[in-house]
Amino acid sequence: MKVMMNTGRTIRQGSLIEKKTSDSYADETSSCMMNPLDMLDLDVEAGDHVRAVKGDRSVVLSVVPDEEISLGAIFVPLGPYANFVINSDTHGTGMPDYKTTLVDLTPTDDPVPSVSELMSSYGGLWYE
Amino acid sequence: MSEIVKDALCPFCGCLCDDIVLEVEDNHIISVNNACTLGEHKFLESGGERALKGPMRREGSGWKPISYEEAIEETAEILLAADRPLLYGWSGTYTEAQGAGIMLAEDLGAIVDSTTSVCHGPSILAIQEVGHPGCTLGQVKNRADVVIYWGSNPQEGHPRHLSRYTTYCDGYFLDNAAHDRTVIVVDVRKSATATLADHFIQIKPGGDYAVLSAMRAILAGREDVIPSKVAGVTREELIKIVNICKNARFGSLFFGVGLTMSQGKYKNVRNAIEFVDDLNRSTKFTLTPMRGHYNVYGFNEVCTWMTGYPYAVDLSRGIAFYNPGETTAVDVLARKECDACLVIASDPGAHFPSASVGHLAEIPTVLIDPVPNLTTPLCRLQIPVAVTGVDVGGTAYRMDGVPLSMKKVIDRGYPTDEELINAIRKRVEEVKGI
Amino acid sequence: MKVSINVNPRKNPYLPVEAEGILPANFVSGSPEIMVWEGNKERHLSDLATITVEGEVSEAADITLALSGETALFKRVGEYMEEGTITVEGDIGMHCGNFMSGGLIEILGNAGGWLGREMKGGSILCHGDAGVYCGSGYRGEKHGMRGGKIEILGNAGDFCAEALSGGEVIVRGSCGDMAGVEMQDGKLIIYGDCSRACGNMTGGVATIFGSVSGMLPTFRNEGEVVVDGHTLIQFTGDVANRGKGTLRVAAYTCL
Repeated sequence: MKVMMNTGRTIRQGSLIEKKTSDSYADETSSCMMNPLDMLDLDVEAGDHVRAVKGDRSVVLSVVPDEEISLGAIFVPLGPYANFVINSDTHGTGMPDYKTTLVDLTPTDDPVPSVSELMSSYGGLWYE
Repeated sequence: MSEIVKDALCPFCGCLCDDIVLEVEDNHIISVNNACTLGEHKFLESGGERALKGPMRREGSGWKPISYEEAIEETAEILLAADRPLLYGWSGTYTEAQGAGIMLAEDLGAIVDSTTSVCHGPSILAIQEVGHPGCTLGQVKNRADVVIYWGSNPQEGHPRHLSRYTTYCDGYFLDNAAHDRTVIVVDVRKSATATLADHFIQIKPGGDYAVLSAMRAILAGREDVIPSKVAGVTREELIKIVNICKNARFGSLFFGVGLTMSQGKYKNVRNAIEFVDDLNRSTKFTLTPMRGHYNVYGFNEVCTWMTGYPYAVDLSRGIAFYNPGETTAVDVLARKECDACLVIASDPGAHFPSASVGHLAEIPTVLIDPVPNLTTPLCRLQIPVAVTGVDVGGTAYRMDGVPLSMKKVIDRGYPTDEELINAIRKRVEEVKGI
Repeated sequence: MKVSINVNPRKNPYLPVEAEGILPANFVSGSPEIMVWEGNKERHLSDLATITVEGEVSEAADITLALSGETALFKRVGEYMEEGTITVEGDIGMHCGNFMSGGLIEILGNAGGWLGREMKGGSILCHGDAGVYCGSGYRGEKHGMRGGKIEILGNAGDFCAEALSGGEVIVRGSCGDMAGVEMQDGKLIIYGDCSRACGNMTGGVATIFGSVSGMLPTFRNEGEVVVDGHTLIQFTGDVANRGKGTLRVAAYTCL
């Protein structure tokens, strides 16, 4: 299912800004907030996993129902999961498409990666 | 025995609340009053147990503690060896330190950029084209009878904004402000702020520019040209909103990254500014960008005084060259142009798109931050410093450009950002003979 | 006189090179010492490229600079050019032909962003694609390109012909978003498609033989018109900006 991914601040994400290595932060920033009708179409329930693909990049997120999200759209709190698939093209402005990235969603049984796995996949060395 | 510190400034968002009450005991902040949950967490956690005890360097599969002297020396070496170094971040530290950073960038012939470029940089691009019909937040609080939040969700990003400056606070020139103010929210989804609005306009993603153009045409008396629906909003709704704005005694439009990050980026903001300008033909209307960090505006100020440009400045040829899209951090990293990076008071590891994050891991990156964040795994060394508003004071600029003084309430013995940057500068200048 | 400049592969191929010294007028006295900047290091062009001069020393108007090799990250080539010819066998970097007032630049490959920025005269022909801000102005300026002609045989990126104030921009392929935004005068012709054309337009003529997506709601439909044998819909606008520009499109869709 093709959806428009919007990312942004949430209170929970903001209050965990000094604790980005915590499970709560991973949990919040890997949430894929979707309209329940779209969830029906995609055959997923709250807590199920979906793979969001853009080009040759993909990331696994966890579904959270939210009636206020429009059909054909998802909202992911800003952070490393959403950014894993966001393109660095800034259209000559310096600003990437944080709020308008079209992704392909498919249900998956794959686990949601930990933040340390995401950063290590860039060649980073995790610090605990 | 604990001590109460009143009127402390909060080092989180652009609201820069200056009425925080802190309880300090044994050189620790033990309680925070008046702050929202974001500020409270910042006070309690940034100076807390997760803070690094000292600098550390990545070695093999582990992290090794090193001294400040070693860290300073190695940072200077890394930056001097580079052909296109980038000094990025700056929004989470005080203005005096930002100034030192720009001087360092000049010494090195580096690119200096701040988190502005991925937040309200587009707002500045628009302001450079058509100006900024702004005012201080005090004016809004005391006069505004119509408040618009466009593409902004303060309930989650600037939690005390409504109670300190708009919807829920008293106004000197308003009788029953909290009751009489009209709040309009425009967004692509019904956010937490939208549920509190008197009028909520939901637009299709990417439709802000079209809606603003339509509203300007309606203001100019040309509603005959507008189709029956624009980006999901009916012409009748648009006319209603325009009339509320036209009939305001003092209106104030606050906009957020909903405009700066959507397609068209700065053109969305330009259209909003021109809408406010058009309203000023018949009434009084102002516009304020909802700056996300407590001192991102400060960086724009000090960078403009010193280089003539507010962010994304390329000093590699000994003069200042400014061209967002060319000299901005995300681009310079994604194109792999940058061969060394100093990250300070920010977290591109968490907030940059993947191609830029990947490159940070490939080049020598130094991180200056009290607490490990998501840039830590990508860096070669991390150097902890004092937290602004906690163990160092300094100037910070609120979202409306008002400079305020951050307080120092404890002292954990860390060097300040300013001291650290100046020490790196001193070493760079010694090596370069300048 | 012809000067061949063949750019060698570099140790760090990702570093941009600022080469505004590559200008026909600079070769009038033979083969001068041209300096370029690679990052924050000043270098001799002769250290980065093999330069061969054929023919007698002559006037700038008779000089052709033929660039080849690893030119894709060479920026500001032909900046302030007044006469002469520059040809690029492959791709060229950003800011090629900025402030040009005469002469010809021909690029056989693709061009980076800001091609022909604030151009006043002369001609640029790009066989490939052009990047963002082709034929545009600079940050904060009220006026962009004022004269001259840019022709792109491929596609152009976002904000093409931004703040166009004179001259002609022709794109044989498609454009990205906001082509012709802030346009005041001059001619913009797009043979393919684009999105949200001519926002805030106040003057000039934009002709789009393809389809415009996200068509802005503040253009007044004036009816059909035939241009070069194609039936197009003519609009006046941008009414939001009290504009009287002309926008002609073959087809459009709204958001």
